[in-house]
Amino acid sequence: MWNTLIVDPMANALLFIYDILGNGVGDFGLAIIIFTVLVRTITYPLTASQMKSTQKLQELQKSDKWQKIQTKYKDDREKLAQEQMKLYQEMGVNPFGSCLPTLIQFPIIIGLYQAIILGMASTPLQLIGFSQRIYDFFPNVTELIPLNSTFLWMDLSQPERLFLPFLPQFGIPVLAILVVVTSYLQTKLMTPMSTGGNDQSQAMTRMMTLYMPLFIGWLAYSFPAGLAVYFVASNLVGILQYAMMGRLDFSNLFGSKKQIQDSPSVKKPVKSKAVSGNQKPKKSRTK
Amino acid sequence: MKIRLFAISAILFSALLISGCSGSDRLAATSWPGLFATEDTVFVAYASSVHALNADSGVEKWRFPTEADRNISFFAPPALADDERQLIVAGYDNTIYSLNPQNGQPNGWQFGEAQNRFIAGVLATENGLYAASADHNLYALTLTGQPLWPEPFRTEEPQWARPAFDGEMLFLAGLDRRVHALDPQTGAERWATDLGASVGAPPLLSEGRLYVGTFGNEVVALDSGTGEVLWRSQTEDWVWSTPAIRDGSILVGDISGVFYILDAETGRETWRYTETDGGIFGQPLVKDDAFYFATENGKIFAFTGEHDIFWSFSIAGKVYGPLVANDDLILAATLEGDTLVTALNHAGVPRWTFTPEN
Repeated sequence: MWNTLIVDPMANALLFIYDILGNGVGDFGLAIIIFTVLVRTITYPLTASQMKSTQKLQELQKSDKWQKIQTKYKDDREKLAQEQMKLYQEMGVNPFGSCLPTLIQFPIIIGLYQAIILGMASTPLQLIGFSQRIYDFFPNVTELIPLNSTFLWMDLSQPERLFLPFLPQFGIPVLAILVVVTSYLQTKLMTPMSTGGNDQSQAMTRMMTLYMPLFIGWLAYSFPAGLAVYFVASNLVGILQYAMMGRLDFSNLFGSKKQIQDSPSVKKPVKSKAVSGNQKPKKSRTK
Repeated sequence: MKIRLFAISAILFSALLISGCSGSDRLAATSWPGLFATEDTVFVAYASSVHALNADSGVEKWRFPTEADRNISFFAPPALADDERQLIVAGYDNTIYSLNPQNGQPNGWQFGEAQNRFIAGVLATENGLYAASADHNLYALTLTGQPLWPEPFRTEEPQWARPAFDGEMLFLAGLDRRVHALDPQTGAERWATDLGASVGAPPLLSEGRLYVGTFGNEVVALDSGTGEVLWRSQTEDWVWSTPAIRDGSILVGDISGVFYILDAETGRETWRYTETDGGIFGQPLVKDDAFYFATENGKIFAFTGEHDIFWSFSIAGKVYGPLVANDDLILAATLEGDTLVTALNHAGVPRWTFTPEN
C-alpha cells in the first residue's frame, strides 16, 4: 500500500524527469532538484495553511486577552491551560493547525527518501527492487539503467565528502554543512520570535531551532548525497516560497534576544518565581 | 532541562526511525550470499562473515572474521587461487582479503585501494587476480596482492560482474553496457562492443563465443576474437544471470521467471518453461544429463535432458545466486530464509542445512 501509493509514483516521477532531461545533462542530481521543486509546489497549500495557522496563533499570543490570562493564572498551570483552550475556541484558532500540515508532509519526505535510494540502486538488491517498481509503460528504461549518479563532484549514492588537493586525507562534508546552514536559515527566517506564550513553548521553539538543523545535517552527513541534495533544494525552495509570500523576517537572524527580553512572560517566568519563593510548582498547580 | 531532554529524545527517536526505514547506504547495503564449493569444503560469504563448511555434514570448520565487525561485509562468491593456497574474498568494505582456506587465517596481504564495494567475485588465474569494483575499475593484482597493471582498467559505470577468461583474453561486461576484451598482462583494451543495455553477470565463454544476458531483455552472442555480434535473442524481461551451455543449446532464465533454451548457433528459441513461481537470477546448473535452476521464491527445478521435470524442491527464503555443485551435492544459498545454505543430493533429497550462529 505504502509503496503503491507513495514510493512507486515518486520513483517513477523521478525516473521520468531524469528521462526527459536527456543525455548530457540527464543526471540524477538535477532530477532530484526538479522533483523537489515540483513536490514543494504541489504541497504549497499545506505550507501556506501551516503558515496561516502559525500566524494566527502568534497574533492570539500577542493579544491583551492572552496576556491577561498569562498574568492572572501564572501560578496555576492547569487553570491557565483551560483558559488558553477556551481562548483558542473563542478565536477559532486550532493550536495544532501548524503541526498537521507538517505531519502530512512527513510521509512525503520519507517516500521521497525511499524513492531516491531506490533510484540510486547501488547494490543488486536495490536495482531489483527498483526494476520491480518501474511502471510497465515506461518506454526506454533499458537505456536509462544505471542512472547517472554523478552530480558535480559527488557520487549521489554515497555520503558526500569533498577532498581537496592539499588535504587529501580529510573529506569535507560540504553538503552536510550546507544542509545545516540552510535548515537554520529557513527555521530562523520563517519562525517569528514569539512575544507571548509561556516560557516552555518558547524554550521548545529555541531548542528545535538549534537541534533540528543539526539533526538534518547529521542525516545529510551519514546518508547518500542524493538525500542531502533534496534537503538543500527543499530548504531553498521553502525560503523562496516564504519570501514570495512576503513573510520572511530577517530581524530574527539578529534581533531575537531583544524581543525575548521584551516579553513579559519571559521577564518573569513562572518557574523561576515559584522556585525563588520556596514554593514548588507542583504544589501551586494542585491548589 | 526537561524540555531539552524531550527535544533531544524526540530527535534521537526520529533518527532511529528514519535509519530503520531503509537505513543509510552504508548500513543497509546487502546482497545475496556468495557460494563456492570444492569436494570437501563449501565456502559461503554472507553479511559479516565468510564461512567454511564441511561438505559432508554442513558443520562449520571456520569463519572469518572470528568476531563480527560491522564495517566488514561479504556477498561475493569466494575463489581459490595459487594452487588452492589462498581463498580470495572481496568485500563491501572495498577490500580484497587473502585467507588460508584450511583455517580462515589471513595470509598476510589485503588490497584496499578500491573506492567502492566489490559486488562481484574475484577471477583467479594462474598469474593474477582480477576484481571488478563498483568504483568503475577492474583491478588486476599479482598473487601477492600487488597491482599487476600500471593503472586499473577504468569504465564509465560501476562493474558488478566477475570478468571471464579464455586463457588468452579477459572479458568484462557490466553496467556500462559494453563488453570489453582486455590483455590480462597489461590491461590494454583489444576491443569493446556496445550491447545497448547493462549486464549484471559474467559472460559465458564457449568455443570462441561469448554469450551475455542483458537488462535489455536479450541474450547476445559475440565472437570472442573480434567482438562482432553474431545474434541477439529476445526474452520477456531482463536477463540477470550468466547463461549455461549444454549440447549446443544455451540455457538461460529471465527475471520474470521464464526459462529458455536457445540454439547456440543461431539464437533461435527451441523451448521455454513458464510454470515457475518467481524470477530467475542465477546461472542454470548443468550436471551429467540434467539441468537445474532456482527461482527468486526459493524453488529449485531439476529437468532431464528431454526437458521433463524429475524433481522440484522448495526452500524457505529467496534464491538469487547460482546453484553450485560438487560430485555429491547441489547447493543453494538463501536470503531471508530459515537457513543460509541448503545441500541436496542429485535426486533432490535434502542432505544438510547450515544456519550461522550469531
